[in-house]
Amino acid sequence: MEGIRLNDEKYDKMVKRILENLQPYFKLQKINTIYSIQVVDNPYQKKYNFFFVIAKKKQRTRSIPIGILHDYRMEALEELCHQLKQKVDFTLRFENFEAQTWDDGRKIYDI
Amino acid sequence: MTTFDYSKEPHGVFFMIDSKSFYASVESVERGLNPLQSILVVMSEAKNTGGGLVLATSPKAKKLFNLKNVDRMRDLPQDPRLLVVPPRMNLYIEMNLKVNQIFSRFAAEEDILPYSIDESLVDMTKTWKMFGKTKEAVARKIQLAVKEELGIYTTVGIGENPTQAKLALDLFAKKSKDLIGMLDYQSFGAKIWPIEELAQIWGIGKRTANHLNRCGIQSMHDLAFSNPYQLKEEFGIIGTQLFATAWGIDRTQLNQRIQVKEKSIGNSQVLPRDYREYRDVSVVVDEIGRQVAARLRKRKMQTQVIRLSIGYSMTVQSEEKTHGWAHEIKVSPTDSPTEILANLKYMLQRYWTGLPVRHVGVSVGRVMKKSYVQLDLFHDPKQLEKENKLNQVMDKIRKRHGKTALYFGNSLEKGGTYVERQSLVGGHNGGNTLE
Repeated sequence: MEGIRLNDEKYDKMVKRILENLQPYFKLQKINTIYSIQVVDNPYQKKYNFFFVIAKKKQRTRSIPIGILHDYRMEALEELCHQLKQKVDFTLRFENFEAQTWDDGRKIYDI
Repeated sequence: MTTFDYSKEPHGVFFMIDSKSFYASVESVERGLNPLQSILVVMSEAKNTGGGLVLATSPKAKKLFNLKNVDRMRDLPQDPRLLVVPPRMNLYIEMNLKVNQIFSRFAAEEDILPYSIDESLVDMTKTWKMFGKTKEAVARKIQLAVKEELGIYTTVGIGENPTQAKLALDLFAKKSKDLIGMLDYQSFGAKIWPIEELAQIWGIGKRTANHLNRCGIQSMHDLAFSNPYQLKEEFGIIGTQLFATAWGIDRTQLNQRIQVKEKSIGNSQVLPRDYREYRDVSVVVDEIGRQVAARLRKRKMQTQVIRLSIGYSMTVQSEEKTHGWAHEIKVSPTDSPTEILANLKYMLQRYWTGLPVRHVGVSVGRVMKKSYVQLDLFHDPKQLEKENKLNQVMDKIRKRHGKTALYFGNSLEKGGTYVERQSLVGGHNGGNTLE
């Protein structure tokens, strides 16, 4: 991900917390199962929610809350996602960001 | 009696407001989903739920898969459209407070009664005209405010008193397009008396409904035209309440809170598995007994009655035809955990016959302010004083560092549940570990 990099330890802590919350639900990759991290814009509470989504073929989908970012700025979200992506291989899927862009005008795509 | 003179009854404006499938709605909004369109269930996988218990279902999931709350995980279809999410009780409490804050813009605080985590009763008698020309318009305004600020849909029952508002909510609002339903004294008979499924009526459970049926009362019309004295004789004071409900009468004044005559404090829990060993059951009884004693101390109260209830496992209930038992002991006023636990242990040893246990409850009754310590010949006063000081120190440590900062060693035994339960709220996941 490109954009402005923020050098802030707090994002490191948040990433650690997200990974701690995710870890009990992912031990080994299971067959026919897609794992992803869903990032949701909640404009009512002005925060970004992070969910670990486990979608096994022909079975119910599970969605586990793993983190919240209360710093409601695209800049902060971008930094957190950038640092998170360095540590995990799961796709980050963005929900509820229609018509929004990153601070430098780039569109928001799943990464 | 064919008519009732309602002119002497209070004519207010009451709104009973319910957040539609509240837990499921909150979780839908958190995921950027429309609560009325999402296909989502909130499922608790706590150890005492027997593999997973559905706490809430979104309206669309109910419709698609014919689901109800209190279904088990095994009843859920394996369909990838169905989103299964864990509960976060602290989040729901937070959202409930926000919903009630919106209501407080429309009525004074003393005119709002949170009836449950997803229902509130609002007395709009004095204020509704400030917000719209009709009661429905005001209800709509409240619905829009909650939807715009929190993303949650609400259902509103409107009545001239709390009972009418509640019935309007349950029987009409939930089925109407605009999620608003109305009842008043004039329309009450026409709308309510034809109802034959009595258990649909708020205040009438299945057992009462069956009892009414056995008495020849098959509909609300039958109930309204029963002899109220005979109802009282058959059902006790509830009989008169049933009669009042059948006529849509309720003289409750929200701002006059009822003072409870006899206070009691209690805790209970459903166990994660059947407990068959005495040692395991006694650990849980100890843990709950200490929690109750701590609550007594916090309120600076003493008790004169200690109660223990034991619920048996489902297998025992069906095979032995017994649900369990409950016993109580009268004591001199005390808040001493040693005294409370000793009496609980005595009851457990005396009345438990070894059948598998699934539910344990401890409560203390005839609670009174602690203004003195009752001494007797059997307890050393210095020992009582020492215990009292020790308890106060433990309470301070737990208050500052959390309830699991300090606990008794037997909570680490096989039967102990204390440590694990500290993260729960109302028996389900609190959901605090995200921030």
